[in-house]
Amino acid sequence: MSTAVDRSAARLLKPDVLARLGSLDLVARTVVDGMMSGLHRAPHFGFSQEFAEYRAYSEGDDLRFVDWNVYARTGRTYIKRFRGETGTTLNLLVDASASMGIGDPVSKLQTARWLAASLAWMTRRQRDALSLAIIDEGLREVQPPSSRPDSLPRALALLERTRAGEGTDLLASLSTLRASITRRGLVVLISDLYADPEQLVTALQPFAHAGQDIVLFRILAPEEVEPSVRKVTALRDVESGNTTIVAPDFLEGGYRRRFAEHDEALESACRRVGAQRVTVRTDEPLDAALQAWLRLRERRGR
Amino acid sequence: MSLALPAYLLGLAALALPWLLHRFGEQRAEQRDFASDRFLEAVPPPVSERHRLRYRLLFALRCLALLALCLLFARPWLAIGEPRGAPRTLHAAVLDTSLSMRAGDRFDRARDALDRQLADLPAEDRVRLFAFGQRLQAIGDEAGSPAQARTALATLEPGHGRGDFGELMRGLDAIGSRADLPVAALVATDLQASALPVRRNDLFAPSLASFELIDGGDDRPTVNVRVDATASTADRASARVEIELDVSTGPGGRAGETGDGGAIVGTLIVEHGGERLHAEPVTLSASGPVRPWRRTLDALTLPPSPTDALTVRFAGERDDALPDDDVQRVALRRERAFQVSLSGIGASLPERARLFLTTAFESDRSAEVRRASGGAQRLADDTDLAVVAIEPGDAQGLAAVREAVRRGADVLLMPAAVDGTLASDDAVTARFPERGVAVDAVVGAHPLGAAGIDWFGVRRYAPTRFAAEQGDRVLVTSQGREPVLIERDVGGRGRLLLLDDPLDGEASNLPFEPAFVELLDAVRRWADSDGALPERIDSGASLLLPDGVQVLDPQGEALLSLDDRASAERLVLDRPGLYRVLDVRGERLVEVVTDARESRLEPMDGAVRTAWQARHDGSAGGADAMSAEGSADGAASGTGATSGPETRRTGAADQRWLLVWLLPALGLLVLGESLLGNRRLDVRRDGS
Repeated sequence: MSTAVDRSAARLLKPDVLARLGSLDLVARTVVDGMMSGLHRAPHFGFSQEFAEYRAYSEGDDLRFVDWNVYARTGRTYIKRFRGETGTTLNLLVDASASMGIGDPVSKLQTARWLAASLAWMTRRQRDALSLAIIDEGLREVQPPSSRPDSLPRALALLERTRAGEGTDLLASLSTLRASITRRGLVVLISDLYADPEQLVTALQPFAHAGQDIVLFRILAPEEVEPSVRKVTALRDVESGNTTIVAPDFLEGGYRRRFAEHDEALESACRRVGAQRVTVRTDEPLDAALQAWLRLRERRGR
Repeated sequence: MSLALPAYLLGLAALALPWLLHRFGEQRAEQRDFASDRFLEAVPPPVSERHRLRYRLLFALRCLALLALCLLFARPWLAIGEPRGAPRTLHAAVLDTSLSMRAGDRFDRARDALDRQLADLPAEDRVRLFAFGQRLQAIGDEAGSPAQARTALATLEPGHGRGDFGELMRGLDAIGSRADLPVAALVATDLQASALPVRRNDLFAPSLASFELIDGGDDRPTVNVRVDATASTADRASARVEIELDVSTGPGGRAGETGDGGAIVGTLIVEHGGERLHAEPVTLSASGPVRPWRRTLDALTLPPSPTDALTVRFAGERDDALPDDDVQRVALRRERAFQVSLSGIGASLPERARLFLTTAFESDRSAEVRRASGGAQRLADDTDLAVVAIEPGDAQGLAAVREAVRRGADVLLMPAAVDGTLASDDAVTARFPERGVAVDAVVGAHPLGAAGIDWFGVRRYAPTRFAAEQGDRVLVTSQGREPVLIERDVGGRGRLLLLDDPLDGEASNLPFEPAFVELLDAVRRWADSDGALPERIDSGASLLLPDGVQVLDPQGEALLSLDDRASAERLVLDRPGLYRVLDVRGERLVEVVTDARESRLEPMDGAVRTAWQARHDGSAGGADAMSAEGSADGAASGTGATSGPETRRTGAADQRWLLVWLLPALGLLVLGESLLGNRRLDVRRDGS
């Protein structure tokens, strides 16, 4: 039975299935539910409304969560806290540059939308605050941090209407955002990370110094990870418009070597700023990414 | 050459083929969008041996295609579908009919020689007969058979014009370039040295397929004396006659070969109306450098005769080679100064204007200026030009002037001076600032020749006073387009000019400028020109005809029909003698004389003739000799000649070969180039 459920969940998380769902809300719910079902009984994960602890009431707490039974018995006001409720802020940064439009049949931007929607959905399940920023050459659109119930649908709506734009300037975008992200929380950047690793370090270091936990989801399409052509082909950079004529053997040799070197440099940069990097391929289910996310949350102990 | 030739159009179509194949057979290289070119490296396309071979083949095909196209352009006159028995050559048979051909039996010899050449031609060849005198004149409307040409040849007679071999070759070259067939020229001439052009390289007609000179000259000793004379009279009672006798010798005609030690003995005779006025024995030398013999008869008494012409002739004791130039009819020209009268009608001519006019008219003693009185009634009397000052508003005075002009007076009308008003008139000052307005001629095509006068520096300070009327011809204007000099047609025998300047030195600075003397000189020549008719022209030259004239030939026959009188602009006078030109102004005489160069019967140097012929035979020696004979610039252009007759004779066979092989080959080459080029282009596009 358990195998059947796993198989079903895995089927639901496949990109081609998700692509047919249409609504981001539905996709996020499906992704999260599917993943949770697949992780049932996993001892190190829990993600439900189960009770975690009592905390003394402090001014400003929501009165709905006051345990009136305890108050009646003890005369003291306690707030019920549930497991998974961390009180943190998730700052989602989604790269919507032109390069994110690459990918067939599912583009990197589509995968990024799904991933962001899923993360937002989980965040709201934990009643955490959520912010969303769409970036490309600069800061295209920002939804400020909010723990209100409508923050999720607004975020989903913003993701729905996001289309691939022009070029990328992560450094400028992150620099702009740095001032607006003040509360400690999670900074999640979803991008293909075609940036100079050193510049990335420069851009992320202020967040790290501010105590933010940084997660980089690197979205990659299979044709850029393992490009393959049968004959010499003209490849056009969608952001700069430059066309480069490349040979098949170069794509299978030199290109992959350079790509791997860049990947290693990114990894090194992430280590330097204490960021976690998760690679997400557009042709693979999102559960691996989400599991990595949950592992991170668990490690944070919140 | 025409761009509408089939070969050219086929070549164009062949050139369009590659474009069409590229356009519709294009294979675009695959192009993909890629996320980032950060890790990409442009790779030069590896060129395989197969590609290299294909490229070289393509290069060769392109070169060959271009070569074939060049050949097509070089031979654009492909004769397609030439039927059997069609004419292969157009023969241009030219017979020299210039005056020198009248010497001895030159004309008959040349005609017979040409006739023999025509008799030897294939019957299917076409022949066009030309007479070459003053110009190359086609006989008949179109080319015919050799037999027809021989018939026409028998009717030709020598003329009196002057031949120029440069003109001959230019004419033949034009015929060769226009003809559909290769043109072979046969030229029968006396090879007169004086007919050679100054530029020896003009003796080349590159469009001719062949050229053959037929010597019709006389190699017997010949001597020719030419008479040239002018006569003038001041009082119709006596005449001044200037006579020049020019001796020339033909082949072997130099001293010792004429049989009398080089002396030519004869009598110079001057006659008037059939009466001998003067006769004197003359001995001319034909040895050594020949110089003209000159005699001036200062006061030859004229008999009372209605004729106004003299006859001057030389009667030699031995036969003259060219009798046509031994006698000349000479018009008796009036010998007196140009008479100018200065007067005023209703106003007086300012003293300063009188001074300016007198000085300018009498500057070269060609005119006499006198004051006239008696008003308009006396304008036409014994005056060549009347300069009249008048108030522009004086209608009565103007009408009188018009009437005088109708009677035959030539009048230069000026406004009377306006004293003391110019400086005080603010309006005038405003329109004509202190520096005045410039003056310039506007009509170049007028016998007065105002456009030839340097008007620079002439400025007007006063406004116009003569208004131009309908039918006026404005010859000179001010900068403000106001008329300064007007010719007004009043419909009479005389002519009327209106000079809008009182010549007082205040209304303009014209009297102080060089243009003033030039203007008055032009007016004098214009008034004295008898309607711009020349006094003398060479036989064969054209006479420009004034409107409404009749021309009588030396025998008194009218040369112009009623239609000709209305429409003819020029008349070719090819027979020497005195022609009479009649119009409303009376009768004027025009002498038509033989060209002195035609009277020189010396044949051209043998080396020149050889070079002339060799130039068309394609030998290098011909070109060299021609260059050596010709001027420096002629030598330079001579090196540009490339093709000789031999090359052209084989042209027809080459053209057929071109038609059969070259066009299909060009098509195949272009097709191959297109196919290979298309692939090569594809290779270049995707880099493989």
